[in-house]
Amino acid sequence: MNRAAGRPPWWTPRVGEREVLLSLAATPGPLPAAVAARLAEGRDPATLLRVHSPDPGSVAARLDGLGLRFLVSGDEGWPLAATPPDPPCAWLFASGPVPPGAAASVAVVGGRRASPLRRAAARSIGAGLARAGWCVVSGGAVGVDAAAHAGALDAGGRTVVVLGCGLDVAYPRANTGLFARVRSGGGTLVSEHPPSAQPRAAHFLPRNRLIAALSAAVVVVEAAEDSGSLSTARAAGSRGAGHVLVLPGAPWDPGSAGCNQLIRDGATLVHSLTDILEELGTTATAPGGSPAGAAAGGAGGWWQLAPAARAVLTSLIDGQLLTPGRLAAATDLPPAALDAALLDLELSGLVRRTAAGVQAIGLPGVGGAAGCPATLPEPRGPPPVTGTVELPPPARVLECGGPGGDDGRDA
Amino acid sequence: MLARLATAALVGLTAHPVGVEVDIGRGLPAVTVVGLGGTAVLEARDRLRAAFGNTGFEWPDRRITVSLPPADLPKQGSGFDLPIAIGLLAAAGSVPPAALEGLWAIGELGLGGDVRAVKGVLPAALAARRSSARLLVVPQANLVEAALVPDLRVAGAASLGQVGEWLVGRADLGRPGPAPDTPVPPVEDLADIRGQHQARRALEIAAAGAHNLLLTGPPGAGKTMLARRLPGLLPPLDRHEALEVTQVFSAAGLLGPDAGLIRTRPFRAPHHAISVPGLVGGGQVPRPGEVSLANHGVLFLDELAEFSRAACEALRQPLEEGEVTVSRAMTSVRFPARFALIAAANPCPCGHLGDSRFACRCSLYDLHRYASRLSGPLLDRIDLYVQAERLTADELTGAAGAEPTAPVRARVLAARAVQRSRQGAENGRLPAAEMADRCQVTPAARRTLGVAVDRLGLSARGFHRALRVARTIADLAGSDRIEDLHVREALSLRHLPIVGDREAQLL
Repeated sequence: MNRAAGRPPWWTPRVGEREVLLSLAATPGPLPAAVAARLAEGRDPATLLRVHSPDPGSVAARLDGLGLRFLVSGDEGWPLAATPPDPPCAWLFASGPVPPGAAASVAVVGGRRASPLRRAAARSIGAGLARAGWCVVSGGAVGVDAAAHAGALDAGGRTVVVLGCGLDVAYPRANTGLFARVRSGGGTLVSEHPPSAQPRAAHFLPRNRLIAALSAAVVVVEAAEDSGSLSTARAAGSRGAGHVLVLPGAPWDPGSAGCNQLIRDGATLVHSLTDILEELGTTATAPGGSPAGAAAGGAGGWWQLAPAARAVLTSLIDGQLLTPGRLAAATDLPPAALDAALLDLELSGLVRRTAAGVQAIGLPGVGGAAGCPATLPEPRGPPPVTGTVELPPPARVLECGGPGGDDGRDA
Repeated sequence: MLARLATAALVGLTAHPVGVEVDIGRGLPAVTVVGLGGTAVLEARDRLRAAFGNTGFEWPDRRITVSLPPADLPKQGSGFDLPIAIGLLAAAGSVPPAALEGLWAIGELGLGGDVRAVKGVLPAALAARRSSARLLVVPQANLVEAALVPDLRVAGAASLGQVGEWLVGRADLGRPGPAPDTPVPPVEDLADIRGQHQARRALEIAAAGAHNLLLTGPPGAGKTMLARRLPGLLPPLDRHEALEVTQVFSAAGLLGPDAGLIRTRPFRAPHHAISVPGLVGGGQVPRPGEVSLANHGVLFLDELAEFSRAACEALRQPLEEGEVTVSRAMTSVRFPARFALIAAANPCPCGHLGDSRFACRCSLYDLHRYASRLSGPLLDRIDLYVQAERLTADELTGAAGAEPTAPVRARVLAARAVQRSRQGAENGRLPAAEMADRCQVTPAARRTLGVAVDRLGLSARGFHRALRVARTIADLAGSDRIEDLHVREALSLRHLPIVGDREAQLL
């Protein structure tokens, strides 16, 4: 696709709209010629759908069967009302309550191959944001996205997963468990794509614009030079400075080259959860909850480590995988002391050893043992009311052309 | 006329006494051998005839019947040539019957009348002593081997002619000289190893507690070199063990001519393409496999992941019971197989996972598949795990200066003595039921183990392995109780996952 052209060449709103309508209509019966004709004239698909749905009962039954809602632009409570994405988005399928909208949400994004350390940071940030009352929005991919969602769920907060496929497809499959946790934890999965749409490479960049549009700010935890997270950040950045918060990386770390480029381009550098909450406090209104209650990251925890352990962890700080031999060379520790320090760090849940080598998975005070549990906790019930999270008024939910369009009230 | 003497038939490692009865009677000239003789036994007829002719003895052109009682014991091999020849000479009347009283013989005949070495002479000599034989005649090349058995008179025969002369009292057979001082080959010394601190330490612990060890590391990291140093760390063979080792080698036909007692611990490194019978023993006439040849020594399985699953499964019995049973249609034979296992494996299919110099090219799928190949019952029996690393240029060119074998071995011997007096067995062979009694841990150590179960995802089996290894580390340190630092060292020698799957599932 041609990114330089501003919008991807395959995109015309009508193609996508027709796809949705076709998909909806295909199950119960044929699409009336009138609908097709009016779509071709460029009429508003939402109205069309309401008026011309061929067999409203069975279309609704299909969505009901999947437990999905169909949200249409122009509805009351439409989450993208204040921040219309570009190219525009006319509808969303949603599983779970209606997303709260940009004013109450923050996106946390990053690469799929992020180092364990960055994933731990994402998890910790997701939890911190949730504790402060923010809804955490991300793309449900493996890596940073999943960690951010998991963090929000850990803290009992809200989270919104924006997928690039049908909601019943739930790609990537590795995250099936996470998605179930999101549903049972009161979170929402949303997608532009109709049920049973398969994930395609072409779906993901447009998906990113929705993540940005659903959030007051985007926190980029990790982004390589060609990372998809950059498109999310740029979409958010197009709304103005202060909407893109970036965790920096070492200058020589290819895994965070994108982060550093964003900062050069004017994004805001953040290096702890406190920074993030501060930035949100000044540039966006935090609905309820106080940032002060959130765990502060930063360098404090380091001084509780023994010198040898500190030296080892410092050598692993870029999240890279080092063999014990390399570590010995980097830290200048005698072998016995190195082994002891490594085991200490392992037992504290800060590093992980595999046959491939040693890797940091947490930092004192940010992630790992101090920040978040090393093992996935059992899914909790519905989120406890932390702070006073004021949800925007429920969007009007269209029961797919049901006459009168019953409002879904379970949001 | 009838002549009687005795010989031995090898079944597994033990030789059973077998009578040799030769009768020359009236009838058409013919030779019949009865008593379940195998092909090589039946072919003795033709070898004997030629040997008699070429030695200048007259072949009795009458009806010859050779019986090898007990008639229901299958007999294999060419060792029956010599006793049958002696029986023939006696039956032909050229030898006084008294000369055959209590006489045992074993040996193969060449067509020229020369007496050739056979395998299994040591087990045969042991059988002869058990039956209070007066004299055992063996091939001259096997004389040293036969003389290993005390309280048994042995003699060596070089040719059929010499035996004939000796039977009528005109010549003597070779007599064993003083036991030759077989030079003990120089032990491969730990001092040759540079770097590899953890692997050296793991070798010491493995030797001290009879733990099995898995070495991983990139090709060229020195895994084989490390493994070869283990026999030198083990205590010397006592006489009983040495005899058992020699017996296995004799039964397998691997003792060289004039070989005496094997006094070094064997080191066997079978290739990974080995068949199951090759590994644990087998064949129509069961022969000891590599596990038995490694008895009281070291079995080194290089490229563990390449061994067939069947071969790995077959190792389970010897690892658990210290012996192996080979069952065949006719017989079921037990071979001793108490060895120290060292396995080496590449960390991943391409070999470079965790290599600081080359990047690993394996996909996650490859790694998962490899991990499942490497797991299983065999790994459960391996207490110690260590990663050998490619040496840095500094370590390669630097002064060696590492600790040589001798002091390490002294520590190993001391630790083994402690274990023997406490529980009568090495820690590595301690049954799980006894572990609780023998492994008293300090509260701090218990706490560490608890955290390890939580944080390192230690399984119950992994927990016991760590405890067992910690026991040995404490024994090496001369400590009664298992202290925290012993547990910590044991934990750093635990199995590391190839893929961090816990993490993969987590996010």
